[in-house]
Amino acid sequence: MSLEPGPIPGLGEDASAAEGGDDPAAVAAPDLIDEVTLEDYYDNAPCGYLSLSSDGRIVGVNQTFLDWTAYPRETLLAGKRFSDLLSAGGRIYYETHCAPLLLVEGSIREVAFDVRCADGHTLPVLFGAEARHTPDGRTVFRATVFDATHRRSYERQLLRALDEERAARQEAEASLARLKQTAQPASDLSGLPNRRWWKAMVAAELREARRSDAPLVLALVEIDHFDRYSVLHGHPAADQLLLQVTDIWRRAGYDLMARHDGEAFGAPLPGVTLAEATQLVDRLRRGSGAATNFSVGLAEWDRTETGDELGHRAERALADEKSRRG
Amino acid sequence: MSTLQAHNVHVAGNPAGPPIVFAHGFGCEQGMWRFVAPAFEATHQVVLFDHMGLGGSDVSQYDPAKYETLDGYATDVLAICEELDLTDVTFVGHSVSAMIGVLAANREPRRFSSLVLVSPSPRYVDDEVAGYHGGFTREDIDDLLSTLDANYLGWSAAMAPVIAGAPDRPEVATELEATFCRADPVIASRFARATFLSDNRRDLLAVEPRCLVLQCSEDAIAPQSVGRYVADALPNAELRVLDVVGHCPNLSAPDQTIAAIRDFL
Repeated sequence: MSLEPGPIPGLGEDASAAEGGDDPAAVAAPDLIDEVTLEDYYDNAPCGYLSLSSDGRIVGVNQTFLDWTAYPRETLLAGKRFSDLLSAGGRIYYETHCAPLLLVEGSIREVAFDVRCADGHTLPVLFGAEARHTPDGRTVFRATVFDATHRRSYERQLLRALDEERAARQEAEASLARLKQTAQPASDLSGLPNRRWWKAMVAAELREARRSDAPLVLALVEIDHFDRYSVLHGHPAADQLLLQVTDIWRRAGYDLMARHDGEAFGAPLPGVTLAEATQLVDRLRRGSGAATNFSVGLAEWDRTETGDELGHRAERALADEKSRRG
Repeated sequence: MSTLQAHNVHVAGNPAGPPIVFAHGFGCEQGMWRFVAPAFEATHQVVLFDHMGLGGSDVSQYDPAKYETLDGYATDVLAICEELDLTDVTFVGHSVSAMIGVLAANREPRRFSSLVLVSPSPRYVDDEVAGYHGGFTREDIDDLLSTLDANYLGWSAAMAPVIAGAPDRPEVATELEATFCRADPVIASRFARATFLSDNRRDLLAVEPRCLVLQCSEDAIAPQSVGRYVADALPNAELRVLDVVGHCPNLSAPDQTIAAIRDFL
């Protein structure tokens, strides 16, 4: 790259104009700036500068980039492409992403690459480039390269943390799924697991809600006047009704589970707020028939209480609803 | 949603002319053809589309299992042809889409009259046993995947305004700004795997339509020896080497690309 050495246009004059001012720094400044030539600005900038021809060949490079990568200037200017200096993956990425973007949009920023240096070590960089059109109609790309060693290792840590967190989440989901599966065999006619599983399930849902920072509502469901229904229509009909009610909930995506002695059933509603749960209940009750006659007690987890405490609040809500429905 | 909407299909040009379908490669979208496709509008019915998960396609229809291999992409090409009721198709596929076109043509040979394979490679990874030089090792492909990861961290994933428009061609910028070369990181990574770990050497042997292999003189992704291999393996193909450095002659040398396709047709 040949650049005419000389003072920075404009800058020198501005500084001279400040001469004679009250500020002593303004007097000292011209000396410093006079030593700074365009060439110096270019060659010893705190970042690498490259000029690339439209097909990616290096046609200009500053001293900083040479210092960082240990390549002799002649080597790079002998027809090397910038992508030749990259790792194989970076080369593919350059040709499939960067080159098209530069050709179509004329600009690209903040691309992470690993530059293979002459001495064998790898320099993580952030690369940016912009198209410039010469008066004779050619296109060149002006590129900057920033040392990103520390940033990259920080980003790798973040990515690793993300992977670990993803693995932890998968593990939590898997254990919840296992729990649900184990719960299934311990069921009666209604397909409802027993109380022990209910407690374990609520505890697991609480953990999951805490981890994922999502809301959780506990719903307790009781069929209105179930005993009377059973006496009037017989046990098989009552069992049938029970199945219908649990089926309504199952189709909405929630499995009702036995908590106590087959009186009230419960379902954790993960990711759901109290308002959404209320709407859900209204929707499930729509329609006619005995299977829509059930009371529901809802309580949204306050994020501090235990599973038992949440259960008690839901029980109180259920008792209120039952007395209201008569 | 129809196949045409799902793939952001654009049909232009002469409705009475024979159809020419342009397919973009890995990393980009149909904008790749913007300097080439218009040249065929006077004579051809020009069809452009985006592969699923890229550009303006409907990402909600992305099925990870389907797109695990290039076959899923070939299925889409055939579905688009079917929906538009295209026959005598000239299929122009860039980069990985060259092989997607080969797979599609092998499944429905009668639908295609010819294939134009731009910067193709039937296998990117070297196969020492067969003495085949694809240009990359398995480790290189892993390196690509980690490069993708590194760049999606703060780049494409955030859809950040990192890619500014071209000041001297604002119309290009605004039109493409939203999607050009941007993709969901997980989808891009799967596409990279499907692309760079594919082996379609045997598929070349069965291609019925006549083919044009467009090879760049200096291509870091698909070297000349690979272009030669493709042309030799195809039953009915001619090789044309373009005086172009790079992998995307459709962008960097549209005139040469257009002329070569015209000569062939």
